[in-house]
Amino acid sequence: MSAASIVRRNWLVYWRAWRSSFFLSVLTPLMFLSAMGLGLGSLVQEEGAFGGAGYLKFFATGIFAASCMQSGVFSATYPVMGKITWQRNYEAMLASPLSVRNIFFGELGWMAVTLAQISIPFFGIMALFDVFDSPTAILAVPIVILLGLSCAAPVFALTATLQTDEAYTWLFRFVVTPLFLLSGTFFPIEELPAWGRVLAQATPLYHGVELVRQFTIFDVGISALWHVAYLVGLLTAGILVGVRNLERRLLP
Amino acid sequence: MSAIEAPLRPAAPGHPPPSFHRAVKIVRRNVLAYKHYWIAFVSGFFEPFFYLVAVGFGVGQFVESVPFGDARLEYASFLAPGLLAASTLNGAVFDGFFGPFFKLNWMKTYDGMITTPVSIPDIAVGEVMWALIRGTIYGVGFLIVMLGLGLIHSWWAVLALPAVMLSSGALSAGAMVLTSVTKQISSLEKVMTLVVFPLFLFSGTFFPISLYPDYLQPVVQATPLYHSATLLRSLTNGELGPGTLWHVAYLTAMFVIASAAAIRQMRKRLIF
Amino acid sequence: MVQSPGSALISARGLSKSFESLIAVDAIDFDVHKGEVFGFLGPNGAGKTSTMRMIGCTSPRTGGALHVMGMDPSTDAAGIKARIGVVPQTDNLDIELTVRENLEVYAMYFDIPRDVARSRIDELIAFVQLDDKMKSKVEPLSGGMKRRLTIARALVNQPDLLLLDEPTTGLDPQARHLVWDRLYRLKQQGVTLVITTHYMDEAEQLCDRLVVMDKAKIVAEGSPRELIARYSTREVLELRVTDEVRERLKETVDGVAERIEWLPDRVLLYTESGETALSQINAAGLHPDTALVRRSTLEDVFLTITGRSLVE
Repeated sequence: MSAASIVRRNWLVYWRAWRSSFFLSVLTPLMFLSAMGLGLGSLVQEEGAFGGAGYLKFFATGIFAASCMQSGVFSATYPVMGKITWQRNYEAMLASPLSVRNIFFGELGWMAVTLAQISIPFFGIMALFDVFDSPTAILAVPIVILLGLSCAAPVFALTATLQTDEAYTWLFRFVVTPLFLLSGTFFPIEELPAWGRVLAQATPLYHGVELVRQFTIFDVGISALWHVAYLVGLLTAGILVGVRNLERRLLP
Repeated sequence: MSAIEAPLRPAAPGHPPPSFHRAVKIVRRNVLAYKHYWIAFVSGFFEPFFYLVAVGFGVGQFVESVPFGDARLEYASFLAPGLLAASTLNGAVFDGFFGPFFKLNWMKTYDGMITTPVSIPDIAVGEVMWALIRGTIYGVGFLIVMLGLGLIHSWWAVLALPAVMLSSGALSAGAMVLTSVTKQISSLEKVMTLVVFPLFLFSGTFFPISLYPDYLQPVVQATPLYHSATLLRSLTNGELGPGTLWHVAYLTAMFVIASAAAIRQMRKRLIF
Repeated sequence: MVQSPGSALISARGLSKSFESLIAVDAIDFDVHKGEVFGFLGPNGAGKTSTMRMIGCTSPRTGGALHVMGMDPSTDAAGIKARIGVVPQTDNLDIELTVRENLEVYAMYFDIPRDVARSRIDELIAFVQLDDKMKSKVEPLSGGMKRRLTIARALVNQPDLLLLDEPTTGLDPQARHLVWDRLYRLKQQGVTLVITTHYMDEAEQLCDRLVVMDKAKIVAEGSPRELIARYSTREVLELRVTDEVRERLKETVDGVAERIEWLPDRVLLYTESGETALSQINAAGLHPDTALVRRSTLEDVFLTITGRSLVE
């Protein structure tokens, strides 16, 4: 009995819905890519504006990271809340030899699988669009999975404390969306005022986007270590707090 | 005794036509409900605003100017009315689709309402009215933001308010038609991804449709948000032309036809 | 038995409802008189809900005649709806509103003036005993409370006629009794109640008269006592026996009872006196595992008429 069995159980439950949801969750970033990367991108006239890579590549790599961030965050909200409160799946699981820690890691494992399902096809599409300038681009997939998980874990910790979904309105509208728009996905954070830049650099999506770009269209620099360290640190903190919160919630 | 051989055709349930007075009750019920959910209501305003900042100014820095009619617009002035139209779409989707969908299929609220003097046409008209109001409120808020950011360039923008209401009404009626034909909760994601999101991205909101290949342009011109965005853009930038009236005609026609279709379809869902 | 249509609050002649693939209600006749509690008793799928929806003007009939308070639903639905209250099978309370607000919006739908509505709502909340839940949202309420709230809501327009579709299905015994109590008080106040149910105890407790429905038709009508007297004996002896004893019972049982039902898990002997029958069986050397003597119920009536039980 382990986290792996949770992954298997989720697979069994969701595989039917998987196909449709998978299609839709790849379609969304693809549409974004067309509209912004191609449409808006063709309006961009400044040469050398985006590190010399052009807006399409700049935006594509940004949206790649951002979609995985959003997916990671979402998967730690309603689906998890459903399992805690409405359907009480976790309660049922705890009647078996599974521990809360197993459950937590199992769910993270499943989220990683979902992130892979989204990121790999999108990676393929970007390759078709000739976005990648470097063989290290292949590492973009594990990078965005790490990004997605490091955003999911703290949100999981939050969900474990919630009774209703009211907080999610705040989360999505006032945290996720601004993050999505202002962390270097659409435009370089150098365009932000100084305080905005500092704020952005404290957020996970910025680090994920930077990492992806370094490995795909720019060059890998020493700052990559710092970005990875941030994400790993966030993930670890999320796990620690998350397991603790989940234990408190499920084992009164 | 057996069933009568020639069954009576199901008669109309003997109701008078929709009345403004009764439709307003739907609006009042929604206002009462939103007193408990005002955050959700208010937060819907912010999304287009964030997009304006991020894309309009963030990316707009790198764009020189965009063609529109005979003029060339600064990118933020091009984008803002597109997002204004998008904000009316938000209102229409939330309260013309999501809200009624849950009331119809989940809470079964309408099943209860039709046991009172409130009839199905009242319900359909009332929900469209409410979604129209919500879209207009968002639109007005966004117009004020545009004014504050210096993105309004013409006195014609005074007509932007009725234009926002028209856009809101047309989109809300369309949303209500969608509601009346949507039965499963799994369809919600499909509607968002295959209808709402493409409309948002590709209707000449972020970039002019002249960028599309020639065969695609008529396709976009058949969709509603294109007309909202272009109409509002003409008004806020003072770039009117003969085509402007076409947008008004399209949206008005959509409002009328979709409302009638919504009433008919809702009747099929609730009376059987 | 069926009185002239003019004197009844609800009158149906040859009332039918059919869909493409099935006949839900097959040419039924019934009358409901003012001030009585009238029941439709039958298993799921008998046609009770379809009939209620036709009376409530939310489903058009496909055949026959129906008059509610002198009006025809196909031409005067608005007039009828203004004077009836409907308690549906599944609650459709507004979960986005509080308990009190649910009643306020219904008062609004019925155009009840604000001040009148306010006092009436206070009375109704007290009547269904939800005073301390007035400001609560609907979701956290128990099943019984939600049902009582639905009843209160159906009374907002002070209806002459209240339609209740399976009013206590899914409620625990205490909640059921509370609902029955409230309904009985309504009857005392002169409200006509029409109830559908598949619970025989509910029908027996509440109804002055009832019709038994099965497979879209009416198979019996009368008061509970009349029906039991007509279709069943006074008492029933219920036995649980081993297979071996059952076989021997089949051979020796003549004359012990008027009728015998051989159910999969029990044997029912219908007789004037259950004790007598039991002693006769014991005297024949047969000893059942359990023996219960009880009075006949409407369940027995249904079993006699259709050969099936009310609850599958």
